[in-house]
Amino acid sequence: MATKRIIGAVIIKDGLAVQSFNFNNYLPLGDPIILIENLDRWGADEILILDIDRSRNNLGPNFDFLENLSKFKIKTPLIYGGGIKNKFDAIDVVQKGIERIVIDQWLNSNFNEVKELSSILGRQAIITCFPLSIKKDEIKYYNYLNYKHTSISKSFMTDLKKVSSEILVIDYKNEGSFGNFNVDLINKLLPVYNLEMIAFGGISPQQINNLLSIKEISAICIGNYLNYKEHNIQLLKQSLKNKNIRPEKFLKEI
Amino acid sequence: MNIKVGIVDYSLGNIYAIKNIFLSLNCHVLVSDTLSELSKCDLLILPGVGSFPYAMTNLKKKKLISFIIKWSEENKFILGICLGMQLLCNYSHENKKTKGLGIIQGNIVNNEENIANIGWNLLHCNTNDNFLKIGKKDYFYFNHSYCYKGPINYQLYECKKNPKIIAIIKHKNTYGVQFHPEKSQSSGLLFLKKFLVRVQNGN
Repeated sequence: MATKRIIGAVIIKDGLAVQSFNFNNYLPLGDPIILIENLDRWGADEILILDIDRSRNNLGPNFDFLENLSKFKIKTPLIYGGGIKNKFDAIDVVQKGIERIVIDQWLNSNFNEVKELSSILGRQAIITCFPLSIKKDEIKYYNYLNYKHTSISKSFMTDLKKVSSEILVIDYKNEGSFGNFNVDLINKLLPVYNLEMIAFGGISPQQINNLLSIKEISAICIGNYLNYKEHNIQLLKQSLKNKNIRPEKFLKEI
Repeated sequence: MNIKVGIVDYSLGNIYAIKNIFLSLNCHVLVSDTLSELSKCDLLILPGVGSFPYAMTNLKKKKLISFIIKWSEENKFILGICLGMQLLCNYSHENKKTKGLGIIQGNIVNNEENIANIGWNLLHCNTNDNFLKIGKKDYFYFNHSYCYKGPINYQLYECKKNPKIIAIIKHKNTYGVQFHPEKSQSSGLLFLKKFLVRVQNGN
């Protein structure tokens, strides 16, 4: 199969790219398109755009932003999450030039419709989002709309495998906290659910080596860290021991 | 390039991304589901991202099926991308058995172990007809759950890694690519440039 991926994440809030800490505190960074262009130029394997206030404020996906973004001719695969709440939203987002979508709150409200979407877009286009934590030795799903933590059932996760290709495991408590991704989230999920996973939230280069050695981890998603230095993705790739990734390539135009 | 590219709008696919990559290559680009408009183009693109049965239903609704088949029979250029490549084949088993355009012999079946193939791959050439001359270090972006199985004489390139995934198929001037050239950075751009030269030269 294909190589494992290093995904660059851009978090957007109120139209601005932000540096996020625990999805709770935010430091404005500026125009998200500039960050996306940088990740494209630096050769990210995919770019994840998380528009985090769209679901919370019931705004739907930001189509104006996506249409504007398409004019910048980004040549890296794009993943978009934010406010997608029905199949029409999802299809429109893809048509604006997005290859894959992230579904979060919609999953809780209408699973059958997500199933229908999967039969339209194909499950490879769908990623399901799981902000998780561990409480009393049990994995808990965090619903950021009602601030509640709930258990996740095996039957639900089995169904999930039929409708989506990967789950985005977010260590939301450690997001923005460098090097503190809680690997127990993966260790606890793995034996039970056997799903392809993308790990996200406070991951350091040292942790990437360990995470990529896990068969079911198909990609690592990194936010803040990549923005600090020109070509940071390529420098990161150069430093990794795991060679099942697309190798670094330093070019003016990737 | 003075090439008119017609992106077939069947209400599915990452149309804006494809439109803009061809604009950046100085093509004239039209997104349309109207036969009279598409007829004026030099190259038809069948975009990707979506499921086979849904795409075929939309092509049928828009009365585009016989138009695309005739286009290929007249030896005009077609490039199917990802799902667009799969539509060129006889049948797909995605969700249910669905008839395709039948331009390229072969069927679309589930990926091995039912795993979506998502990520970057190197390609290996299967034939001497290699005008594309894809480099040994050129990675391409794949994102699919189903893949091509068919006669070897339609296969141009396959992925280097196991299990074997057919990456490029062709019949006459109809080409299908399982990867997304529009999202494969410099490798994808180079691929499209070479392909457009072929279109411009007319063979």
